[in-house]
Amino acid sequence: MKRDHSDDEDDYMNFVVEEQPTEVSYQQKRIKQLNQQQQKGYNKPKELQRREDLDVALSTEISSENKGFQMLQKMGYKKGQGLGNTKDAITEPIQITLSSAKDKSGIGNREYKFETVKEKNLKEAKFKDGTKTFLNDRQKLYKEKIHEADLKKLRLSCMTMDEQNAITSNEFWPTDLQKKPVRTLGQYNTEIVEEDEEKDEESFESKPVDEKVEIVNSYLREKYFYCLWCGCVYKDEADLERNCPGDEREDHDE
Amino acid sequence: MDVELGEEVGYSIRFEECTSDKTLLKYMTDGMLLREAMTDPLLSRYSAIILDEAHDRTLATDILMGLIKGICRKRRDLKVVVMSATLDAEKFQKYFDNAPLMSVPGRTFPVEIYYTKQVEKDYVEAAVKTVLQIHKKEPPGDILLFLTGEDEIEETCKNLRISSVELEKQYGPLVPLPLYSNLSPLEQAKIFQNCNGRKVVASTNIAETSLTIDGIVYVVDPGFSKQKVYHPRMRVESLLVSPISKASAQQRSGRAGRTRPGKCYRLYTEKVFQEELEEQTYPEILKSNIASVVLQLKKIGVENLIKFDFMDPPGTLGPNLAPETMMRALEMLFYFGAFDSQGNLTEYGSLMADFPLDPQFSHALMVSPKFNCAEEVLTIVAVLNVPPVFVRPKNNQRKADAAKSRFEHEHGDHLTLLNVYNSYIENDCNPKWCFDNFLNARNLKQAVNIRSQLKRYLSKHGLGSNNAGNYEQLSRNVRKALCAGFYMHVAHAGKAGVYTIAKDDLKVVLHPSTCLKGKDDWVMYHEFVLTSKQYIRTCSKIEPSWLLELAPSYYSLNNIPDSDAKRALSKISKKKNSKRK
Repeated sequence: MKRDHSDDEDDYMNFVVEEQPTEVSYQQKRIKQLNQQQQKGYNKPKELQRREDLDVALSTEISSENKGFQMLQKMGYKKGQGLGNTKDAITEPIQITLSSAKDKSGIGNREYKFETVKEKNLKEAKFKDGTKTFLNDRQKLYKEKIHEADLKKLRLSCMTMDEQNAITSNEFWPTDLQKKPVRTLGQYNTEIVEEDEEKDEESFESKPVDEKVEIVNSYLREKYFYCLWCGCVYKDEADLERNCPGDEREDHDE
Repeated sequence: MDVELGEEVGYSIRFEECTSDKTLLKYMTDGMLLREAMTDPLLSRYSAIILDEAHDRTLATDILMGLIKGICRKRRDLKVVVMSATLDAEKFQKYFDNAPLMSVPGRTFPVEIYYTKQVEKDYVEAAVKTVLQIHKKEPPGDILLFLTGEDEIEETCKNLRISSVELEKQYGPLVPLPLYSNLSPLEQAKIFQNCNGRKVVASTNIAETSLTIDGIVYVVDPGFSKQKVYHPRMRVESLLVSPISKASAQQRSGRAGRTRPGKCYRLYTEKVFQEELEEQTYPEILKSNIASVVLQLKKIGVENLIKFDFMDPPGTLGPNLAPETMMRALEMLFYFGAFDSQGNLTEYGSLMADFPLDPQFSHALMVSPKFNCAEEVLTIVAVLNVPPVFVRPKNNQRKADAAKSRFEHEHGDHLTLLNVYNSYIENDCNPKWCFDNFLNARNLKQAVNIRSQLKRYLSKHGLGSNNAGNYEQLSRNVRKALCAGFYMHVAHAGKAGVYTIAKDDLKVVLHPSTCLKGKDDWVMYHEFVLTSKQYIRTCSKIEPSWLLELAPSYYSLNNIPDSDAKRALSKISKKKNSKRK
C-alpha cells in the first residue's frame, strides 16, 4: 500500500506515531490499515449521532430556494437583515436549550447548550484511547501469568534433574523446597564464596519473572539439553538445535 | 354594578361569547380582540381599551400593541391604557411615543432571599426537603412551591403527604395542594379555602403572575418552568423545561411578601442567578409559529410585514421576530393557497383567516366537505384543540392503557380520538363514564363546545357538512382531509423504527403513546415534541400518493433533499405517470 501524506491528516488516531513516510514498518502500516477498516465499519453511538443531527438541523439556515425566503425577499428583505423598523433587529432564531424529562438536576448543573461536534469528537477519542490501554493492560497481565506458570515448571524440572545428577542445592530450585545452607565451622572457608552466591541468589529472585524464565531455561538447555515446551531431553546440543523449534514459548506455538 | 352577566357586562373568550347589544363593558382575551380587529381594523366599536398584564408579552398582546399604536394615530378619540408590572413600564412608555405614566404603588412587604450553597443534584427532592424544613423551623404561614408540570406536582404532593404524617404530632398538619391549569375548578378552589394546618401550594408558573394566593409567606423556587419553544429551522414547536429568567425569579419571590414580610428559598446558588439566568423571559412571539398571526395581520390590512412595528422586547435583544420564523409562516400560507407568491392575501386566505384556528386546521376543515367527512374532521380538530383527553395516572398506568386500547383505531391516533369523542356522545357525556374509561370529562366537554362553534363557522361560509361512505372509505377520507392540512408534518419510515421527516431529513421516533406499531411506511403527525428524543405525537398512517395529489408543489421532486423519502416518492410519481399514459 502506498502511503499518501494527505491521508495522515484525516486520521487523528495516527497522530501519535510521528514518523517519516519512508520509515514505516510493516506493523505500523498494518495498524493504520486496521484502523481505517475499523473506522469504515464504526457506527457512532446513537445519542451522539442524534445530537450531531440536531446540531446540523439547528444551524442550517433556511436556504434561498425556500418559497418563504423568496416571498420575504420580494417584500424587500435582504439576507442578514432583521425585521421591524429598528437597526438592531435579531437575525437569528432563539436557540433551543435541551433537557430530558428525567433529568431533575438543579440549575447550573446541566448541560443546556449543545456540545459542539469538536468537543464530542475529543471525548470520543479519549474513550477510544481508554479502551486501548485497558486492552494492553489485560494483555500484560495474561502474559505475566503464563511466565509465572512456566517458571514454576522450569524450577521443578531443574530440581529433579539436578537431583538425578547428584547436585544437592541450586538457587533455581523452587524456593520452598530449597534447603537452607547450614552454617557450620567446617564450612567456614567456603563462606565467602557462598556469600557471593547468596548475593547472586538475591539478585536472581529480585529479577522480573520473564528474565528468571530465560535464565533457568537456558541453564536447563545448556546443561541437560532439556526443553520445557518440547517436553523432552535431547541427546546433545546438536540434537537440540536440530529438533527444537526455539528457546521461547512462542516458538512452540503452532 | 349589579347587572346580569352577558347584558351590560359581558365577556368573550376563544370559542365562547357572552355579550349582547346592551353590553357596555367587555372583558376579553387579547387573542379575541386581535380577531375583532380583522373585521373592524380601527376597533371603532370601542372608545377605550385597557391592555392588562402587558408585561406577560403574549403573542397576541405584542401584535395588538403594534396595531393599537397605528390605530391611535388615526383615531384621536381612542383612549388606551396599558397596564404592566413596574419593571417594564418605561419600555412601554417609550414605545407609545412617551405616553404619560401613572404608577400605582403596590403594598408589598420585604422578602428575604436565600440561595443554596451548592448546585442541587435533584431539584424536586431539594424542594421537598426545603418545604419540610420550613414546616419544622419557621413560624406559621403558607408555602408556595414552583414546579414545572402536572406529573411533577402530583408526585411531590404525594411525597409531602407521606412525610407530613410523621411530622404532624410534633409540628402540626401540613396540607399539600396541587395547582395547574388542567386541574378541575373544584380542586382549584381548595387553594383559596382556609384549612387546618399549613398549606403548601405546589404550582406551575400560573401562580407567578395570573393567580394570587393570600397567606403565602414562604416561596420555594427551584428555578425552572415549562416554556414554549419554536425553532423555524427544525419547525419544532414544543414545551421544554427551561431555567427561568431573573425577572421571573424576582416575580416569584415577590409572591412571599403580599400579606407580611416573607422568605424566598431559591434552590440554586447566587452565582448561578447572577451569571446563568437571562435578564428577561423571551416574549412569546420569539418562541411561536406565527403563521396564523401573519394571516390575521394581512386580513387586518397590514401591507408591509417587514416594516410592521413590532414592539422591542425588554432588554437588549432588539426587535423581536427572527426572519426565518416569518419565512416559515409565509411558506405555509403560500402552500395552502392563502397567499399568492407576492405575499398578498388571496380570497381563500381571507376565508381561512375567519377560523379561530391554526392554518393547518382551517385548511383541513375547509377541504373536508370535498371528501365527504366534514363531521368527522370537525370532531378531530375540536379534540386536538383542547388539552389531552386521555388521563394516565401514575399509579394506574396499565389500566389506563387498557382503557385507551379499547378506543384504538388501526389507522392511527386521529381516528382513535374520533372513536373517543363518538363514544362520549353515545354515553350521554357522562362524567362517570369518562372517569371509568380514564378520560378527562372537562376537556371532552370543552371539545363539544368547540365543535359546535366550528360547525357554525363552517356552515356560515357555506361549507356544508355531509358524509357518506362505508367504514373503510370514511377512514381513508378523514385521514386524507387531515393530511391536506398536515402534509408538512409527514415522516417516512427508515431502519429500526426511526422515521425521517420527509422534507427536512431529520430523524424522529413515534411517541410511546401512539397506537401505531411503527410498521407503516408513511405517517402524518400532529406534534413534533423535543424531549430526551425527537418524538412525533398523535400519528396516523397515510398513503404517499396523497402527498403528490394534495401538495404537488410542496412535494415536487426537485424540491426535496436526497433521501429515502425522495426515492420512494419518485417511484410513485413514475408509476402514476405511466398509468396515465
